Amino acid sequence: MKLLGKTLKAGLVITLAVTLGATASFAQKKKAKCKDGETDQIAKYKLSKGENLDQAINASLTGKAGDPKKGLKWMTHRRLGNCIACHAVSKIAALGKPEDLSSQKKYSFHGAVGPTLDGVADRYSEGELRLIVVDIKKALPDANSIMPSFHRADGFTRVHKDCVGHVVLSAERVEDVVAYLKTLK
Amino acid sequence: MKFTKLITGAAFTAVMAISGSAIAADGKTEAVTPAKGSPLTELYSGYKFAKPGTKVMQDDEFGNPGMAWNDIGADLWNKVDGKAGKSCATCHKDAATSMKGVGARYPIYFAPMKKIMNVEDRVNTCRTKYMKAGKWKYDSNQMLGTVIYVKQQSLGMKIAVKTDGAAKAAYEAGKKFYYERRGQLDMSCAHCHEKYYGTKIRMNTLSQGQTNGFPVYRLKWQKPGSAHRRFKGCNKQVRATPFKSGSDEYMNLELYLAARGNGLVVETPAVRN
Repeated sequence: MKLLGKTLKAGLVITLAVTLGATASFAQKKKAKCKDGETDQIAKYKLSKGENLDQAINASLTGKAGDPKKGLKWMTHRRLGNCIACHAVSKIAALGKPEDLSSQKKYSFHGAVGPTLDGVADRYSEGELRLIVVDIKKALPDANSIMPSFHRADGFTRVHKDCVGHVVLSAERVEDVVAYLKTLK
Repeated sequence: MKFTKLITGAAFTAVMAISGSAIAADGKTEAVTPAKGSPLTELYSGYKFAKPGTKVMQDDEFGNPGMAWNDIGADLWNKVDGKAGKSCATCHKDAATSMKGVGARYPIYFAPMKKIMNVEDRVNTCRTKYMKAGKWKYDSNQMLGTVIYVKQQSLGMKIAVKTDGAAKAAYEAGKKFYYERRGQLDMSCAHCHEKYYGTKIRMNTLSQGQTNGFPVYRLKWQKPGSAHRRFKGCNKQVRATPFKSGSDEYMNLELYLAARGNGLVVETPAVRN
């Protein structure tokens, strides 16, 4: 009887531990949807007059230049920039190897919701590209744009609890994306 | 490879030939002209945007995986449950007669309870009020089976959901919901499904978000799911907090969406990617 009690107790402890472990990993997984290890410090920026658009952010959000290699990573990352979900970019599409489906899934399937980004650096200045990525609603006169505001954390409706206070792209990642966009001439 | 394609093609052609006239103007392949005042110039069932293999699966009554739930529903129809000792059939007799048209006109304004009801809600009302049985959860196998079985009795009928009179307020509320931006990605339903339907987002094609095939068997889910489950998925995709299945918000939206598709035909259980 005593032995049975002990076994039961041990069983209970193990079950509890497993349940807690599962809950913890589940919570972590859910958090990753919006967080992805971001520091989520929202950069303050100054709006200046643009060359082609009314407004632009001429200074880097971090004070440093971004890394175009990382920019490519965020642009194809499904939970972060995911730019190619809506915009076609020939240079990125060409990175998918014809014989390798996973590399094609990563690079080659592009959406057609927004305009192509080929030559985007010829159409907009660096400061304009930065504002377009940070907050499209401030950059374009089309108030009905479908494009998300990638570096804004307020003014939204019913944001998922995991995403409250978070931005889609951190200041550093915005700079990386801008650095990559600048190569699209 | 070519041979397989040929066979699939032949099977598809055969299916098309059998149900030929029904397919002609039901929104599956040919556009349906919506009623006056619709924001859309043409209506299309999600069938149009599904992958070719998925279409073949839906069109084959024996290959459609959603039909397994139709069988569950057919069995439950005659099964006595609850303290009143009744089954669905006790009151409604043969579903082929009594349920014909339900899938085409629901959700409705249900006067005795003064609220909008979809088929799920109607089933649960019957269960609690008349059968004295417990409620079924949305997306439980029993609920999915019963709703699919009930809607199957209207297969091919034109959707004709009422939006006037007592349903007007819910219709307007659903419409408001549809055009509201929501979530961290700041998108409304209209952004994807009205403005950009037929357009690719990465590997997938955006549909018009029509509900004429629900509950649909979704390959991604590996089982059928309610329209409310799909709404939750959409809300989460734009990083918004979803509402509960059966909530007023989703009930109003379901009514609005069904009415947006007035003129399409019932496809339940449709198969989607």
